[in-house]
Amino acid sequence: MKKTERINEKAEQPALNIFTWGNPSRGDDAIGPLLHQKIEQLIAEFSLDNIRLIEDFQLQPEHIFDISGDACIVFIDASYQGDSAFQISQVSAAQNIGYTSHALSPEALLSVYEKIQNRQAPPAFMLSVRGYSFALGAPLSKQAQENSNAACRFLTELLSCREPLQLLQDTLLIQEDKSHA
Amino acid sequence: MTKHLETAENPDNLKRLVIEPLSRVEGHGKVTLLVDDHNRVKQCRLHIAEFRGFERFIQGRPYWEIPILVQRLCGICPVSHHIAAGKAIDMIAGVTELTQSAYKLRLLLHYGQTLQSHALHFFYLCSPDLLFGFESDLASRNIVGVIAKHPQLALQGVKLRKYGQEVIRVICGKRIHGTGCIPGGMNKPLSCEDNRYLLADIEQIIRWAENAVKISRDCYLANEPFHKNFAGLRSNYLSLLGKNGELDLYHGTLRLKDASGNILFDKQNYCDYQNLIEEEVKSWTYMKFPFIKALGKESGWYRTGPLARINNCDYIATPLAETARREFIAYGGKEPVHSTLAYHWARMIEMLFSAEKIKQLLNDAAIMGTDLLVQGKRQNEGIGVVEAPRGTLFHHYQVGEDDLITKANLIVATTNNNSAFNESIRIVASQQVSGREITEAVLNNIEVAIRAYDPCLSCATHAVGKMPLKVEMRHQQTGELISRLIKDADGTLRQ
Repeated sequence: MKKTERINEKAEQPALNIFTWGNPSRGDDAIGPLLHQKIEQLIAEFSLDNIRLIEDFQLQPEHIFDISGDACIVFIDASYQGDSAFQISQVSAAQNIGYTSHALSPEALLSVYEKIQNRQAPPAFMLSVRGYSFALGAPLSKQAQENSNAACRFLTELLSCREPLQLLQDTLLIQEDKSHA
Repeated sequence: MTKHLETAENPDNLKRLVIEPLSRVEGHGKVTLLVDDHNRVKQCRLHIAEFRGFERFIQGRPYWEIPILVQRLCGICPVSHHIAAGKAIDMIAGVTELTQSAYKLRLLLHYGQTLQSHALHFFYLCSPDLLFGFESDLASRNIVGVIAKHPQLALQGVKLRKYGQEVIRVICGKRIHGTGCIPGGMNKPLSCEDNRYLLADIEQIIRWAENAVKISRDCYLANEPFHKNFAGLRSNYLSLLGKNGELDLYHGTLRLKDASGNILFDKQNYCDYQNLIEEEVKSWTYMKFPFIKALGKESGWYRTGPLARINNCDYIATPLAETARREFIAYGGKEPVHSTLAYHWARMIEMLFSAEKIKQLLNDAAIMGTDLLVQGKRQNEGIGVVEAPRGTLFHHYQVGEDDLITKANLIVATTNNNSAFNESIRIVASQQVSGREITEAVLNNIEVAIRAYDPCLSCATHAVGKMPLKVEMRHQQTGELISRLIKDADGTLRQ
């Protein structure tokens, strides 16, 4: 991504709201905070005013005010499942809640958004990066680091492209084709 | 009153019921009930099974790290620990009085924290019970249910919480686990831009806080005979008060009132807390049981938090909250208001007070000052006490000549209410649960009693997610491994 190109195009870029979370002290759960740092660097380096980046320990109802109505939303977290370095999945609003409302799921957050803001939630996606070890005090595993690097390359492309929603949808389709093959 | 329900006489013949985890509270706790064949409750206990160990592992750390470290006690009320530790570290730094600017920044931070914490508790955690009923449908009895049925009310609650978090963020840099208090002051001033940003919404925040007082009061009075006696118990009340007896959540002296409203002690320096309070340990829970030494274990337990503070103070120095306080006290008549469910009403009065204080502070020119630090002569001991959202919070540290912490003692706010929790749930168990068919809805009555206190049972550390866990039993003297049980990240148990 060339800096000059980015500066000229930034006024036209659609908004992206990116949420990351994770515990840097729990092994591969540090993936979220790691990618948050990388995205912060990209935002600063290329003056990406269209990106809203939020990091927190968990999703809570008040995060609905961090969502721009015209944005595309990406949630980023480590996952203990999956065969590839990372996966994209679409997130739809759903009124699901476990025994606690302290940590809302992305689906529940979108449902809260729709009810309170009285409008449909913007398109949302989950970027799940494969992790393997989540023990307290453990460092990031080598494989998780490589998976994070792969996710970072994807995110760099996402943040620089003119149609991030299209890229996310295309990536989703490619994934689905691969899984059916 | 309910002492007979603490330990059953013949537990072997009884059925054991467990409520775990307690829902819509901060932290992790469980309640166990022993019932007979007719579901009559013979034993009821609140257990805190998590051992944190902060008092031990912060030993050996430099004293200036402590206000940052102790925030990790909690993800909901870290600012309370940050400020209490900050006050203790001020003493160690030899500072007895901050600059006006630093003092007012700390007040702003503290009242922002109280506003967001009280909003979270009322709107997110307990409003489902108050609005829908204690035994209403489980699927709706949560914040998402409130949002579905009362979207405007939910919107106010979410915005109140967010506003309080923004106050914290502009002072500390982050909503959770930021930095602000340093030995002798604060680490950065409030910018004009941030002041304007916070002032922009404060009138609306005050109006919503007033509305919340009305809602909490009306919910309580709508079923007054039932609510008054639900988990109702007479108790002593402990809190800090300002120098003229006014409500003050940041600094003051200790007052204790008895159940009849008599003042048992007043204007006590909190640095003498160890002469006033002792903590009893019981085998079935990690949370201790503080009591007033002079009154003994049986009669010396007390309640802290909003109900205690509103009962104890002589007045509130902000007009709208003062009007609300007078109405609350008039309801109690000649005695303090004892109803456990009145905690919600008192809590909303405090939220209104916090909003009014924030407005006052933002309009005070002194808060914009850049003179934020005072230096003093290094001491070896520091005690910091504040009124945290949940009650009186004590932080006490001793420091060696090498500036490293040698000893730490914390009485976390919620701990003060431990006897009251257990009394309350036993009353509810005997009145609402005993002899009935045991369902989730019926057991929710017990949770409602606990929830009224807004406990932070282990300061917001839930066991959510896929954390692996290893438990080892070792010989006390030799350290030899006796047995081990491991839960892997996928939930599999193995030895």
